[in-house]
Amino acid sequence: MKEAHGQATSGAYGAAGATLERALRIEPDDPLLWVELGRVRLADGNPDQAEGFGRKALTLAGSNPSVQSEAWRLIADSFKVRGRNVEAVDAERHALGLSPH
Amino acid sequence: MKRLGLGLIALALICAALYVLYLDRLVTRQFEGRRWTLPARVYAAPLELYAGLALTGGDLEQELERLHYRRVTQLDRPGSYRVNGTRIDVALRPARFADERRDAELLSIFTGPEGIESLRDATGREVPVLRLEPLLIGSIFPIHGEDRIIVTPQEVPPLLPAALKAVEDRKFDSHHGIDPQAILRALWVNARAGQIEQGGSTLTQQLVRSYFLSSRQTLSRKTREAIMAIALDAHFTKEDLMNAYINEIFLGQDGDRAIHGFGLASQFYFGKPLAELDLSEVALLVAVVRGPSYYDPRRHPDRSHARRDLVLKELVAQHVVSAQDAAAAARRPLGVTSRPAGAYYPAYLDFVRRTLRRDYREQDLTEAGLTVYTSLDPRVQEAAERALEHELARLDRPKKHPEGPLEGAVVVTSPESGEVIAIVGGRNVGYDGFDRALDANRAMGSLVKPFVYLTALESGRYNAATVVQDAPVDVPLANGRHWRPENFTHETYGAVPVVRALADSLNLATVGIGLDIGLPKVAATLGHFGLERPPEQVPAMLLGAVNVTPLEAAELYNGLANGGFRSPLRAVRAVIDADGKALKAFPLEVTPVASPAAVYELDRMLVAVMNRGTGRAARAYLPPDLVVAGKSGTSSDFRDSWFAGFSGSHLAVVWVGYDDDAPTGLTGSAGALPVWAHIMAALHTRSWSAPMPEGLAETEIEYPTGLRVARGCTDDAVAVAVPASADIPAKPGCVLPGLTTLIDRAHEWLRNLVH
Repeated sequence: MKEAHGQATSGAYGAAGATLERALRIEPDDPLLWVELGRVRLADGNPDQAEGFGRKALTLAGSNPSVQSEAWRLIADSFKVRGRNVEAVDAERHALGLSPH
Repeated sequence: MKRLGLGLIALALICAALYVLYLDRLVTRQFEGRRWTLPARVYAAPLELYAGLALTGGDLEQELERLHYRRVTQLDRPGSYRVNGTRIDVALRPARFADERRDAELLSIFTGPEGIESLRDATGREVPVLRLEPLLIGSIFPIHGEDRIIVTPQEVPPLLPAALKAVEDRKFDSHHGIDPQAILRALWVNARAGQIEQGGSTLTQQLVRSYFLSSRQTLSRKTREAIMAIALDAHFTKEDLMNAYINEIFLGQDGDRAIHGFGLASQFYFGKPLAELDLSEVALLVAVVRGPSYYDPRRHPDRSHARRDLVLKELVAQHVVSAQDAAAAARRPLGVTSRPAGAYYPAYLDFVRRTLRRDYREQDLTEAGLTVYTSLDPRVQEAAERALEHELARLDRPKKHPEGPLEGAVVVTSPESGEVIAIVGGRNVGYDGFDRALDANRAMGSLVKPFVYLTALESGRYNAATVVQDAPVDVPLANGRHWRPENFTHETYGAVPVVRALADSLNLATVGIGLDIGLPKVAATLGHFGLERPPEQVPAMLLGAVNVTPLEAAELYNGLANGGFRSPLRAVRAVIDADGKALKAFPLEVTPVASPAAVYELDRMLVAVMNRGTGRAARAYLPPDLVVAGKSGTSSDFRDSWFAGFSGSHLAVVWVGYDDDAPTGLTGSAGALPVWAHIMAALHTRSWSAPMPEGLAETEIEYPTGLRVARGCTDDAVAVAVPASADIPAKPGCVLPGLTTLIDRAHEWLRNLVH
C-alpha cells in the first residue's frame, strides 16, 4: 500500500493502480485495498469507477464501522465530483453512521 | 562487326551491373528490414510468492522446473536452485514485468506443511512478497508463421559464433561473402560420396537463402545468392552479419510456427535462454542447422545425437574446445524437452490476440517487438486441460458418435478481478483450431435459471423460502401453437420453496416465476451481467433458449461469484513496447449491477445446489469443508451439458457437447460437472464465504416444504438467507430446537459459566 501511495501522490496513477491491483490479487478480501484503489480512480478522473469500488468495499466490510465509513466517504466524494449533491450528502450520513433521510 | 560485338558486350556488362545493383538493393533492404521485425511476446501471470501462500516445497520445485531452473547442489548461475530440507535457495534470473525490471538475485524460501513460511533475500532480510519471472507462453507472429526471440550480441555465448564458423564456414572472418575454396571442396567431397555431405555455402550465403526462401537450388539461383552475399559482406560488418545469422536461421518447425534464430531455438528445444546453454546443447543446435527436420532431436534422436557428436569432434579439431570438454559433452544426453517448451496454449493466445487486435494493427502486433503480460495461470490451465481430456475420454467411450468425438471447453476466472486465468478450447488441447471457449455458441439450458431467480429476488416479491407451484404450464405462443414445457423427470412437484426449485432445477416452477416477473426484466438482468446480444424474449428463454459461448457464460457467472459486480473479463494486463515503455494497461473495472443482498441470497441457494441439488455429485471429489456454489445446465434434447460453479477464489465454466449439435444424452451433472469437480479439486482454492449483507438473516427451512424449522429439529433442513423482515410460516411442532441442539447449548452455557 505504501508503494501505491508514493506512486499516487506523484501522479503516477497507472503505476499506483497496477500496484494495488497486484495487492488485490493476493488479498482480494481486504476492503481497504478496494477503497484505496477507488481513491486512485477518483484522483485519475474516474468517479463512476470510484463509486463502484466503494460499493465493492462495502460488501466486504462486514459490520466494521470504521471500514464502512471509509467506503461511504469514497462514495460520497465520487458523488460530489459528479455534482450529485443529494446523493453525496446521503452517503456522508452513512459515513457518519447515521441513517439516511 | 567488331564494333557491334563490342557494343553488345558493353550492353551486356551494363545490364549485368544494373542487375547486380538491383540485387544489392534488394538484399540490403531485407537485411535492414529484418533487423526490426520482432513478433510480440506473450507471458503468463507471474507466480507471486509470499508467506502464507499454500504451495508446498514440492509445488515450488515444480514451478521452478516449469521455468526450467536447474536443480543443483551449489548455486552457480542465475537459473538454478538448491533444495536443503524445507529450504529452497534460488538464483533468480533477471526478470521484466509490466511495471518493474529486476536484476538477477538470490532468494531463500522456507516452507512448512501449510505452505510458504517465509522468504529471505541474500542478506537474510525478510521479503514480504516476490514474484517469479513470468512464463513465456507464445508469440503473436505474422500470418506467414515465422517466430523468433531476438538476441543481442551480449546474450550470445561466444561459443556459438565460434562453433558456427568451425562447422559451417571456417573462413567467415576473411572471405568476402563466398568462399570459392569451400565450394570446390564441397563439390569434390559430394562427388566422391555420391551424396551431399558438405554445404559449401558461407554463413552469409545461408543468410541470403533464408531471406528469399527457395527450395530449388538452380544455378541461376545460386549465382544470385552469391552476388547478394558479396553485396551484404561489402555493406555490413562481420559482427552484424553473424548476429543477423544467429537471429535468422531456420532451426525447427512447430505445427504452423517456424522457429527462426538461436534465441527461440534455445527456448523451443531446451526451454532455457540461449545464454544458459552448455557445450553439448550449443553443439546440438549447431548440428541442427544443416537440416532441422532431418536432424530433429525429438523425431530423429539418433541422427541428431550422431551429428552433435560430429560437431563436437570438429570443434576439438579446430581448437575451439578442449578434447576433455568435448568428451564430457558427448557423454551427455540430448537434453531436449519432450514437449516444445515455452508452453503452448493456443486457446488462451487466441483470446489474447483478439483482445489486442481491437487496438493494434496487425503489423504493430507482429513486428514491433511488443511484450504482452497476461493473467494466465499455468497451474490452473494444466488442471483444466487434464480434467477435460480425462473426463471426455471416459464419457466418450461407451457411445461412439459417427460425426466426431465428444468435445468440450473450459474457462476459468478469478471472480474478484474478472481476470481469465485459463482457457481450454477443445479436447485436443494443443491444437490451434476451432476455439470452442470463444466461438461455440450454444444453448444455455438450465444455466440461465439463476438469473431468472435473481430477478425474482430483486423484485422483493420472492425470497429463498417463498413457496411456488411446480405445476403444468401452458403458454399460447404468437404463432398459435402452445408451449408446454416439462421437468426433466416428467413429474410435477407441486408446492416447493424457491431454494428447492433452483437446486433441483425444476423447469415448471422456474417458468412460473419467470412469467410472473416478466420476460423483459429477466432479459434486462442478463444484459446487466454482461450478455451483449439481447436474447429473444420468448418464454423458452426462461429455460435457456439463449445461445452463449463458454466465455460469455463465464462473464455472466463472474458477476454472481463476486457479489453482484460486473467486471469485463480480461486476459491482458499490460502491453509494453520494445523499449520498455508502457503502452496500454487494462485496469480493473467494477460496476455494481445487482443488489448485493439479492446476489448473496442467490449465491447461498447456489451453495444448496452443490449440497443437495443437481451439483451434489461434485462433493465426492472435493474436500468436505470446501464451500462451493454452482449450477448445472442441460439444454433441450441433451444437446449441451454445462456446469458453472465457483469457490471463494475461482470460477470455472465447463461445456460438453458435440460440434454438430447432436444430442449427447448427458445432463449438465453427468457431463460437465465431473470435469468441473476435477478442476476445482486440483486447485488450491478457498471456500466461498462472503459476509452476509445487512438486512438479511440466516434461517433454516424444511427443504421439501419451505416451512421454517428450528435447528436440529428435522433432518431435511437447508440453511438459507432471507430478508430479515420476511415472515416465513413455521413448521408446527418444530419451532423448538431439537434435543441435540438443546444439549449442545446447555454444554456451551456450562462452559461459559466455568470461565
